[in-house]
Amino acid sequence: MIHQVLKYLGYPDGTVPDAAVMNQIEKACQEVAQASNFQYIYAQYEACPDFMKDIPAYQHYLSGADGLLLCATTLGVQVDRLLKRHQMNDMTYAVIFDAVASAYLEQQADLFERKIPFKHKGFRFCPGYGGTALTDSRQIAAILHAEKIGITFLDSGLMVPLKSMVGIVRLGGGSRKNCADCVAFPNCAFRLKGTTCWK
Amino acid sequence: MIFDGAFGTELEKRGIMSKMPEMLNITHKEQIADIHKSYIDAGCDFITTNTFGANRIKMPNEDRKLVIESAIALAKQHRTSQYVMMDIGPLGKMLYPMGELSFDDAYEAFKEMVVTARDLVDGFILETFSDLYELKCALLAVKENSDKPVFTTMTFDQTGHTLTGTSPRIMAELMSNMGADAIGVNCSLGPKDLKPIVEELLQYSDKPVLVQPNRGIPSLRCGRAIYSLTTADFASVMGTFCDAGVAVLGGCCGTNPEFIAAIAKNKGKQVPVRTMDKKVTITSATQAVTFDKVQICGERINPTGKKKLKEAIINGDFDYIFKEAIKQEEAGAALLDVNLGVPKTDDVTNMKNVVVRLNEITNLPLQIDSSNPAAIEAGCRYYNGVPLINSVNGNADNMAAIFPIAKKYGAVVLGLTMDDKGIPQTAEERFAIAERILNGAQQYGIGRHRMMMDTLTLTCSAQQPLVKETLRALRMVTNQLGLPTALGVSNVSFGMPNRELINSTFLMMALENGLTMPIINPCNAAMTNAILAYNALRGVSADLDAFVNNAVAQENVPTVSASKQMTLGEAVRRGLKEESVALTMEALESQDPMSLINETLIPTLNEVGSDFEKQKIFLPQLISASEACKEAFAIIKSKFAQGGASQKGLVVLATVKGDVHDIGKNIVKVIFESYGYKVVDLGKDTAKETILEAYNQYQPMIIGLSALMTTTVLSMEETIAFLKEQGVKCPIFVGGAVLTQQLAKEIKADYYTKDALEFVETVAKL
Repeated sequence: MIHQVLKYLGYPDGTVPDAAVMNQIEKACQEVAQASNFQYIYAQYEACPDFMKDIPAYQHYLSGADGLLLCATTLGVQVDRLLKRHQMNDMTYAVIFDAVASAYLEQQADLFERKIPFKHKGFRFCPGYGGTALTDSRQIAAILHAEKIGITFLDSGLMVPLKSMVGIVRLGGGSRKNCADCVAFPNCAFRLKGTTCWK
Repeated sequence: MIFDGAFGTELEKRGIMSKMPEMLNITHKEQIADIHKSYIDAGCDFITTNTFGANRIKMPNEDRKLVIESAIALAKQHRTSQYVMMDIGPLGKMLYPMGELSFDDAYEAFKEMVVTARDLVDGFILETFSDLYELKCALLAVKENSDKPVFTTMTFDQTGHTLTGTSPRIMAELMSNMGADAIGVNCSLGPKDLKPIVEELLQYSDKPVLVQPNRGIPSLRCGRAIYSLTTADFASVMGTFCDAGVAVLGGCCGTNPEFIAAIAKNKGKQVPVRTMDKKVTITSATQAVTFDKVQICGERINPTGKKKLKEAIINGDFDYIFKEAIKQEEAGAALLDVNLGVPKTDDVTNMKNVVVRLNEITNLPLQIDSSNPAAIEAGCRYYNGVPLINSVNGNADNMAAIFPIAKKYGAVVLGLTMDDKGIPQTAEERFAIAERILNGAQQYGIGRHRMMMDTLTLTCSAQQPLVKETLRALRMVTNQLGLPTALGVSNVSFGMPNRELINSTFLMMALENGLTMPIINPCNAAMTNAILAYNALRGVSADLDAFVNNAVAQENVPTVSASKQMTLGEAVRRGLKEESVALTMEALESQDPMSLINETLIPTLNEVGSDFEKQKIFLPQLISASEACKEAFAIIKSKFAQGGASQKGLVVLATVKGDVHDIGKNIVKVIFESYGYKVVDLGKDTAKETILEAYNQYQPMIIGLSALMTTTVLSMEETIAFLKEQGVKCPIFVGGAVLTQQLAKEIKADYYTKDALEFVETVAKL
């Protein structure tokens, strides 16, 4: 997970941060783990929801799949509260805390998905990835009743708690992560440095 | 008594589940009435109307009045003797400041439901809430608009807390105090898993307890929940709840009339009467504080004698207040005093705004402190938990003003042993007032478990003989009334030399006479440590551990001294705040402020910036160096005359409407401040009108707008168009994760910069 945190903080692959930063990352890891109330809900479907049917990006991701999961996951409001609080008190630590919280959510979601009893699963594809609208999150969340795990939406379509994800996971073999599908593709800081935000 | 079971599960069984099940009250009347009938036949005493989400947030465009009236009529259609309860669920949006829905708007949404239903139903059930604040809001909406009974339930998960971190105990304390008629838990878990939660509710609620479990935890398949718990297993655990004292049983998701028929066998059973030993308890949404040991009330958010705080209140600089709150929490306060009384300021509005934000910023309970009952009411209304009111006194008019507020909002009240004649001299007279206040409270229906007393510290320099009267009164209140007590400790030393010694000695004397809540500055380590030691010596092992842990933590804090070898430039580069401050002060003794800025700080920042661009250092180091530099600037600024030459210029920053991600904007703010710019930070989710207002007020050099997501870039475009149309002349900068040079041009921004550093450098060249 540290690897992912460093990526979010803008460290190129292989860079070792100084001891002060490492200490703060470790402190943030503990604090995030303690404050988070990780929740993950999913439901299995044979076919995608109607609203995805005419959107090429979803169809591309799902082509040849045996079915899919709709999923929603969050670290809960306490992490948000701490993030706001740290921003008031210590911006350096707040930036580190933010990166750790994002990485922690990804990690917990990955670990959870590994335990879902299907042998072949694709990576989590979240609305906002290339060719899909962030606002699709709301439709998936509505199907899953994601408010039951505390995920709510602002009028603008952003999620509260901030550290939340809504997405789909294809079932069956054959999907890999691919930058070309990404919303950040034209302007991606990771790509400019010759790396990716994922592994 | 018996409640009905799941409604959604029954709708699914009949194949009529829809996205807006409340509309079925109009389109599928027969089936809805049939579901109610099936529960009536199963033996329930209460019928819940099909109105869970019939509010203006979830159903903005539907005829809600018709939906609710129809729902109630259908619930009544087959009833014989059952009570019809209007069902009210959460609004589906997070309340401000976590989300964007204001408390007042939420209140109006609930009120509309209550007003529509109040003459048609027997009572209300507020159910499945996971945010205590929203539940409080809904309960107020019922109690202020109806006299009918109201039951409240929350949903707790395996951690024993709601999703927003509230424990059953905290829920029970607030709901009991506010006068809910039954308090309980529903949904999320099966009966077995709910056992510890039910036990906690029984322990802390002096109201009947209501339990509506799910039929266990379901597995999901094709969007459908599959439940496997049997009727017999469900009913047998529910039977044990009755034996433990639960008075109302029902079911939630997955249950059906068979389950209700099974638990209805408990109907009429005599449940044991619980003996309650209610302790004085105040809470935030996540922490409860009782006075079985000495608890520190942090006094720093009170402008009396604090010039900086007074200025902050006058200027509306609430960030200063929030930082004080965090500092005191970290220093060991158990609760925080909040007093915002500064002449010629709107203390009612300020109290509301500060309390709303503090709900989120600190975990500690608050003491709402004002001499203005309207400000106390504002604080209590918008507070999330059981507040402590400071204060009421022995004057009958004052009691008539304060106690109704305390009753309505479920507050604990601190009584001051004085009246319109002032502070009596003797302990006996003060004790008599304490008794009068306690009797007064009881007349307003506020029990002794919601009262505390302050026997009033007088200054030793002016009224030396009276110090011992305060202590004697403390002992009398402790021994004879059994109430927790409070004192503003440092008042004793006004006008004295060596105040700290006087304060800490008086503290010890007061503790020995029964003081349970010293109101002090917790950042004063001598006082805080003395209290920790006092608690440790009382013989409670947890308190001994707390003392030892604190002592170890303090030993591990490196002592700050301006190292002889280190230069100011190095301290800033390494992001060492304390060292930067110390070295700046040292340098200012021999160097003039301007040259310190131009010859040391700016070159250091330039060097840090260039290292960042060359990837020799990274974001955390860039920010920590900027923060250290900002501290140095603050010291230098204090040396200049007011508004002096240190000001490089003023910039306005905002995250646009709809966007709540403000970490990027906050990084920009730190970097600007480190270069000596004045920053007016309008925060996140900022309306375009607010930005225009700030432009007109401050005439900034530039306006910086931030947006993180594609969806909010639209809002950015709208903001820019509006500002230009309204005649904003200064350049508008934009930044944020999804923006590009191209996109910035399309939305007609004047400048786009890729990061905070480039932003500052570009502004410097303007």
